[in-house]
Amino acid sequence: MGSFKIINPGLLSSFQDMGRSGYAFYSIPTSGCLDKQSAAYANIILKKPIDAPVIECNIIAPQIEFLSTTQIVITGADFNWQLNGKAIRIGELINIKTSDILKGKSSREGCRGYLAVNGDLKLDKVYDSYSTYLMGNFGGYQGRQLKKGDVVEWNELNPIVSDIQMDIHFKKDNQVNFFKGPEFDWLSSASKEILFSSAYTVQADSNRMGTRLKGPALQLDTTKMKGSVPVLPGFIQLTPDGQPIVLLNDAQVTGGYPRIGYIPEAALPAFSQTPIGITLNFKLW
Amino acid sequence: MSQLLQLNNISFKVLNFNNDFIILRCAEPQRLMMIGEIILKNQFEFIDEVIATEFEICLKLNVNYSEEKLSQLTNLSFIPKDKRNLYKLPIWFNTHEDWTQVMKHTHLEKDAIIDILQKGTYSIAMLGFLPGFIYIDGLPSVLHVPRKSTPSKYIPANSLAIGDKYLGTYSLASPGGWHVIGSIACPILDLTKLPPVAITGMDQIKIESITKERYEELQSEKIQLLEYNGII
Repeated sequence: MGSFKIINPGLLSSFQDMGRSGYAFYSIPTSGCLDKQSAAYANIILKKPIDAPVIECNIIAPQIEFLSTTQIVITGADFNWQLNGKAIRIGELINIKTSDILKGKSSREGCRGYLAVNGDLKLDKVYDSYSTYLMGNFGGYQGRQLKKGDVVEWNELNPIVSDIQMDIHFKKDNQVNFFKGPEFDWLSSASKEILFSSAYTVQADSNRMGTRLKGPALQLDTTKMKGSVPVLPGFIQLTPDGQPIVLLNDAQVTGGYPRIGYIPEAALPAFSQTPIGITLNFKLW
Repeated sequence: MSQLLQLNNISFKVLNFNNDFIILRCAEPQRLMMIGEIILKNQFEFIDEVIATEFEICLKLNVNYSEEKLSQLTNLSFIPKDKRNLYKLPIWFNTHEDWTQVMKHTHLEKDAIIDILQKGTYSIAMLGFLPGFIYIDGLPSVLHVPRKSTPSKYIPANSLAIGDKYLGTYSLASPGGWHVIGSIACPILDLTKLPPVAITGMDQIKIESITKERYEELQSEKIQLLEYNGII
């Protein structure tokens, strides 16, 4: 059996996989990796199933002490990762010895990193997924984000040889392509102009439920939402103060705010890598 | 461009968003949970998620979707197979601070409010918000209390609350804008089961006022809602 210990959890590190599908009817969100593409790369390089659970870290990297020999792959944003103080590359297989210390700094380019381990992780599988749903306190490691002192165990798998290397660069494009949502036409024509010509900045109170944006306030010609309506990850809601929120994987399944647009699922991994403080421009697909 | 679809004698406008998702919208509030549930249980290979609210059913589509497949929904039988259950919901009407606003707004004393609550028979408007949150319909208009303009940061798990025309069940501790009036003694949400909420769109609910002592007894014995109601 293998294991590692969390020396420092970073800003928000949790186990995620490809998420839950088919449970939104029961108000259980999909959860799962925000940047599924990077997470899948880590598993591919490690020759594991794409939906194997990985650690997702956000903005500030965790510090981890390995209590056994193993192999890992790190993908996603660049956190200046170091193994025993020496810089390591992301996107390739790394051999780990007992007592090795993995740490990183703040993310540069992107804000989500993924760590895959060559083992069958001992985690909670709830409704077909190992993803931690933080609000619901279930899945992953005890249904919560990782804390200092947590020891994560796994059943060891045979060491692999992998010559796959991926040089992953995020598209440095501040343009957000979106489709019209059900209430798009409620925006006043002046507000449509503003939306397409203004910059919106990612706010610090964003989380796995949604990315909050701030820019010139948008107005609606009508505000008559008839109760709560269905929402999915990627939906762009307009809050009462006229600011957009892009819903992410842990978002509620219903909401009372107008849905002015949506970012299609395939574009969400890249969008969710947008760090706080970055300025975005909206453009219709 | 928008077409119409008839399901269970309800006419829906079909709004297709680039084959990413479809919204079926009806003009009047309907209990769409039952229709949603039947669509979900048929596991169409072109639908990944079904979300039902009062006016809309959202179908999240996948690559298997093509336009002619939507008509498969019209072949479904919407005659409910399951027995309709009447659930007693045991509530300890605690001394939560939100009572002040509820009494002020309704101009009624707590005892009178509890009396009215116990007289009603309620139906399920929809599931939504968070796991185990039920929008319960049928609250007499004297007990309608608008939601808080600023939501509370913390509402304890298994709270019964009033929000506008609904009663709602906060099964998980969460922030929330509804007024808490009581604690539910037998949890509605069971994450070890599928469905996690046994109450379906066809069921009905009665509110039962219990003492603090009885509440603590049910809590310590960990009685589930199904067991409490003798439903197996």
